[in-house]
Amino acid sequence: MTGRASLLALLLLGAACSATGNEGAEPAGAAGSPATGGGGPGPGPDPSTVCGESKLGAPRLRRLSRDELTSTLHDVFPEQQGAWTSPLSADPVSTHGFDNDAQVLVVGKQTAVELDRLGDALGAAVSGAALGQVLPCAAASPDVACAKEFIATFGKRLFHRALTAEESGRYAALFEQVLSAKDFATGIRYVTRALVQSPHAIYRREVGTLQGGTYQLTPAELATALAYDFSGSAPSDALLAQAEAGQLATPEQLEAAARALLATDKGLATVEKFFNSWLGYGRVGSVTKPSVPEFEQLREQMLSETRRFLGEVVVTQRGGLKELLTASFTTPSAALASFYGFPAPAADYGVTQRPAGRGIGILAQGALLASLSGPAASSPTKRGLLVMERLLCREVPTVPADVPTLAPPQPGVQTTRQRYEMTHARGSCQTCHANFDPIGFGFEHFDEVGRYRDLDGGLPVDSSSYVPNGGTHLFDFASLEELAQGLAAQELPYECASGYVSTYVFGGAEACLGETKRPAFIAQQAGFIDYLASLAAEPHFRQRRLAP
Amino acid sequence: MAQSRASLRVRRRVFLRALGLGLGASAAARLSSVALAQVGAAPQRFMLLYVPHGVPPEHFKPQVMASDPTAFALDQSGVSILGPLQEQFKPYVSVVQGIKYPDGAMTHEAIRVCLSGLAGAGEKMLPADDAPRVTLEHQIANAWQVKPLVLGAVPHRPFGLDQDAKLMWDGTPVVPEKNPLLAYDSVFGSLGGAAPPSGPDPDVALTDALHALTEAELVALQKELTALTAEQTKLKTHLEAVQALKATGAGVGSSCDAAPMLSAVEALRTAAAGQGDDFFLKEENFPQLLAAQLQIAGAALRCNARRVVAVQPMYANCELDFGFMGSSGPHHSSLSHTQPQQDQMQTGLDLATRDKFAKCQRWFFEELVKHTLSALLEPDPADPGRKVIDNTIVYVTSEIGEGAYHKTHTDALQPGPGAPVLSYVPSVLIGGGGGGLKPGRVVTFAQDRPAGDVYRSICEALGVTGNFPDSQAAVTEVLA
Repeated sequence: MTGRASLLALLLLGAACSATGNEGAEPAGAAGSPATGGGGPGPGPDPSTVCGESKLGAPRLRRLSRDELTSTLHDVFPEQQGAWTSPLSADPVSTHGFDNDAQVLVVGKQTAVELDRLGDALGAAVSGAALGQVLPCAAASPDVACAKEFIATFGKRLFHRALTAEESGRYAALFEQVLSAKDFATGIRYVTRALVQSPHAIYRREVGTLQGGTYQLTPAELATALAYDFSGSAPSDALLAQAEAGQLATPEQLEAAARALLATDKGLATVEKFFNSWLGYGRVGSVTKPSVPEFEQLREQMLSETRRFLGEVVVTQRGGLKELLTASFTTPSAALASFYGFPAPAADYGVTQRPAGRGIGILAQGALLASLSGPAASSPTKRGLLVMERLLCREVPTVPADVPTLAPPQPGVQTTRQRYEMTHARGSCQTCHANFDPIGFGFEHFDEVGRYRDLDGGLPVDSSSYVPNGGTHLFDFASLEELAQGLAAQELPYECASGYVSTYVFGGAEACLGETKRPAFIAQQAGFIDYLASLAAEPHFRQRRLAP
Repeated sequence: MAQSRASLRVRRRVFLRALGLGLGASAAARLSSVALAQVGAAPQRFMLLYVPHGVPPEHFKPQVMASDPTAFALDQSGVSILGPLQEQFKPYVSVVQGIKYPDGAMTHEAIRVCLSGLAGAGEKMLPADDAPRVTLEHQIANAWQVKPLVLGAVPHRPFGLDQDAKLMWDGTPVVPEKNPLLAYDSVFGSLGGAAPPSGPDPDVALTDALHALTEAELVALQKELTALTAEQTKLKTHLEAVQALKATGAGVGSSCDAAPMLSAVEALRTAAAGQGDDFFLKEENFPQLLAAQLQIAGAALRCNARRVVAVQPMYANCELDFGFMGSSGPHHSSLSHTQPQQDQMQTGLDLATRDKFAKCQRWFFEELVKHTLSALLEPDPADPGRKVIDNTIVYVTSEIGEGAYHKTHTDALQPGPGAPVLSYVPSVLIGGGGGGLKPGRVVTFAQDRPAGDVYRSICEALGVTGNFPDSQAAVTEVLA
């Protein structure tokens, strides 16, 4: 089933609706995801689409994201960490909030300039005082043979395969041209600069060779895909050797390798990046909350709390969406626990049970709640949109051209909910806001920095509401706990979440690439890590259909 | 008349660069002359300042006296957003009223649509869309064969570039440099260094050889992957970008002998010491970041170190709280989206919040005056006898007119008792443009003209042929 389809027609009727929330809420549609701030080109496939069986996608070149490229260079030249600075700008993000979308990531003029600057910065570091460390032969015999050794060694690491003789010859020729005008170190600097901006270093190649009507990915391509998908960086020599030895040929071998990578620090960082891109809680690091002075000292701790929470739920307990939504604990620092009014943890970021009635799961995380608020007030619109888009996979409508104004706060006269109801329940606004504001009202016991409240501006908070479903109620709830439990009892959020996972791993664009273990995830028999790792065993991971 | 030191330096650098490219001495001399002619007696510069999310028209409109377009005041309309320009810069200011953006200029997408003159394609528009957009500042830079300096203070959300922030286009999105310290170093870092080598600069030839290698790899990859249509497009974009690397230099060379001391940059250097990259996207650092960027913009133009500069403070949908300058509240949703008139369906007119928003937008002009325009009042080191502002056009605009209604054309609003106020898309030109402009006037069109007409006029004033599909004719009223 597709949640998006059922609601899209209704949403489109509301051509003049306003998705503007309160102080800090963002219009929907053209602005991308109002909840997470994501958004970009094209709506793309509906992540909640379930196909029954896995399909093959098209062969592709996937440009490395900024994070992937930076991580790669740190891995390839570990001695130089701290000796160079990346000039790469932030990447465009897709509609789904991911910065690794193969369709979106291209090398335009600005990126080309930045790659050139990146190569030069790294080249300067590599060819500087530490050159002997990177290339021992540079001290004893700084000559063409030594440069060729550099090209072979680091070219292979950057290209994820051995260079062909022709390729090596080109780089050696460049080196010799530089040497004739400059010196050995400058030659290495130029070669490094050229290697870094080579299309063979910039793109992850998932093209394969044509065999029996499909493209079969090469061993090097498999190792590369594994490394970037499950650890966000280049394949190690060991992984490449494993692939070349035919030890990454079967679905079981690939899944086992994926599991091993996910268990590393880099693998965990990749998992955390998925959750942050999906749910957008990381925005807590940049927003302002002028009416809560303590927030400045606590927001980094909120981020750490959520990371630790995810580690506990997803990694340690191997949980799935149900556990993510309904975990009865959180993992605050002592300062945060005091801020929230929770019992102090045994140690900072230790597991702490939430007091009854103070929220459950990821939706009650301070980082998420503060991210989905304005500077001075909570935002039912933003919070509702998060659930609607990222957990129910319903498409956010385009923001209209005549967004009206939300009534100003009137403490003691109106609650935030009442302000929203007053403004958005009328006229054309209602058509759209009726689909997500009611969900957001369920969060109203939590203020703009994630603290529990019984009163909003001196008036009692009412968090009872419902999840709309095309004119009916998907379910009713009285609190954030009931909202989270209600979502966990529906099938759609599992379909939606698993769709986001496969979109992230496979770099967007195509649906139905990760279906084999998806029913288990939907049936709550597999957690996030299990489903993530299972994607390495999908046919799409090894093969591609004939283009297009 | 003796040539200036700067112009001699320009000629010499271009000559050396041409030799480095393998041109013969006579061809190099020709190229050098062309470059000098472009700089010429009036070394022109251009700056674009984007002010996000419109203006409240009742606080923006210049007051024109007795229907004389040259007799006007910028400081007599409520909060007077343009007021900071009145005292020192009014003779350099032209305000164009009555323009519209191309069809499809939807809300926050509008800036990239309007600045390229190409109709929008809605949400489905991809970064590398079929009709590569080249926005005004890049058209000028491309024509001058220089690389624009594109700066942005908190120009996008921390996780990346979403639609709200894609304000500059050159076929693909241009991400503004968010770190003023890096920008400063890239613009002024080489000043005060060693003298140029006496012969052809080998670095130019070697860099070209390096880029030729990358180009050859891309061409080979294109041939190998001919069956993959989508990847061909990707590789074509990449190839064109690398080819542009070979063709485009940073600028014509600085006219300043030493890197300028910029107080906001130095203050930021202290504040940012030991901080990570995310420091430059934190909303709380916005005022410092913008001040530094505007100072860099002014100094870069003054020194002729960059002939084309763009500054993008924030992004259309940014909710930065402007409490730092006295107008507390998120810029986009609470301040800009303030009801501009009584409406049967909506809450009442909120004049107090409109005042606050107007003060925010005025603040941008205050900062522009303080950090950029003041530097342009100095004598032009590349053109002694004239001020830098005489040779420069600073264009200030927004992606919409009235903020709450997202107006992309002229419309009448009733923000209070009395006569209706016409809401115009903001379009402000500052400077003489090297003699190309006739500043000091308010030009008002009874019927909206395409915004591309204004951009075309700016290009004409700067000796550039612009390509804006919506344009019908230049705005002769602003041209000399």
